[in-house]
Amino acid sequence: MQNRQTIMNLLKTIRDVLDQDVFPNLPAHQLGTVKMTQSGLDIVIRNLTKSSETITDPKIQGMTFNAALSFLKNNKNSEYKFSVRELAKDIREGKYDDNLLGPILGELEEQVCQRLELSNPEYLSKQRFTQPNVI
Amino acid sequence: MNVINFGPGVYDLPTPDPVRLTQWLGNKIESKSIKLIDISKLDGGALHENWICRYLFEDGLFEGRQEFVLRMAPLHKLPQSLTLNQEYKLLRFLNKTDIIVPKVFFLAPQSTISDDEVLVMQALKGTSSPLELMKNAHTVENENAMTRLLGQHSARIHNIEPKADILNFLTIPKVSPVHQNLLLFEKILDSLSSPLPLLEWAVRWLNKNEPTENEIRLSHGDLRVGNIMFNNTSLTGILDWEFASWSDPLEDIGWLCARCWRYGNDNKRVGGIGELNDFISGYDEISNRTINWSNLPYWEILATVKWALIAHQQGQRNLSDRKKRLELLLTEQKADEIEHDILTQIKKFNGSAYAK
Repeated sequence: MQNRQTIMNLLKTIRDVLDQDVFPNLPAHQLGTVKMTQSGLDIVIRNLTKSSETITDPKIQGMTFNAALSFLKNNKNSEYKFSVRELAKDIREGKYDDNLLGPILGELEEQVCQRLELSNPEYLSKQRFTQPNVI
Repeated sequence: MNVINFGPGVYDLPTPDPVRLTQWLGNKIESKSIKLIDISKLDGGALHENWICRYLFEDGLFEGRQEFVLRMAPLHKLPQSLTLNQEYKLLRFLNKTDIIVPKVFFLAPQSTISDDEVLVMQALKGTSSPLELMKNAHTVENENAMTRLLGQHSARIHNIEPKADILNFLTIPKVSPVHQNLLLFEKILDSLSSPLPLLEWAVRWLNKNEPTENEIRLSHGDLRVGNIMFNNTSLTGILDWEFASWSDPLEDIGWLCARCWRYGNDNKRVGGIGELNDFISGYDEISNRTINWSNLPYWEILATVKWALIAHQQGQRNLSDRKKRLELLLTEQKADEIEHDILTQIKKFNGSAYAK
């Protein structure tokens, strides 16, 4: 198994080759698809970069990104899963009903901002939706 | 005859068989000669595939050159979707009203044109492309006229009340329209693979802040730019009725006006096209009762929560077509933006005169 940094370098290189050598030579009708793949790759690279910086759990250091994510999401003892699942359950059960606009609001805002830093950091400054929607 | 498929790879959504289609139409229409000129898939639609086909008929009801839209049954419909058979019945009903929808010709049974049912209907003139509509609305006069028309046509839909003898397949809700939505939202939340605390919280907020008054009328269920067709500035049709139900008229209007459906044209509240005042003025001309417009911000929040949930649902659909699959996965990534917008809207609502 290769380490995360190697995989990230590989991914960034693939992104550069696509950006500089492949995409500029594609016909105009494929530009939409190109933009989609660029967005997708950017999200993956941001996720990899961020997780390399922040994940210090020795159990997941050295894992590939997918393996680490899978571990965090599926391990019953994972603190990550416990906290999010418990929070959702407590909210559903009405434990925050008396003060929905209290500290819980700040907690949820912090969580969504953290996710936006990975999925679309530009939204945090410009508040503009990615377009178009697919439904 | 040309069969035109779009993009690399083939969608794993149902597609019409041109040979079976032509044979079936020929029998149905009883024309001596029928020639398929071309058939191609229309853009848009993550659930339904819509195809357009052009025919030349020598005689009969459709003599001459004719265009039809084929609406294919989806492989994986959402729990809140009508079946194609119900959509057919609804369109047949609407064809007899003053609501402009495509004329529906036939419902081809399973195993005729395709493995599943296929709706054969009129091809309307114009475009439903949001960006083109926004381009058409580039002058103040056009913008006012188009938005007013949207108001008038929305009111026509909402003038239809539930009665025992019409549209029996649409269940009259036993709970308020808000609660009907919230029950659905919880069901969707339970079906998703990851817990979503922010959306759970938004559902609780919607529950606690439900408007006191509500009415039950026919609701399109997906009334937004993208499902409304204009030929220049004339409204030529309201499309895609698969989410129709009996609900509060403000559910449709909240969906139409929600910021997530303004396609980046945020300062134009009505679908990114025009101003709310023009919409209200058109609506009030036609509507047979008064709407409490101060409840609109609440329904815009409900619409945004609904869209966030749909975005999460889209990411979990498993299509083998890679381009479509990528589109849906990126839609799921947008849920973060939409969830952030929910917080912004609720904070604004609570700081405003609307708050209880």
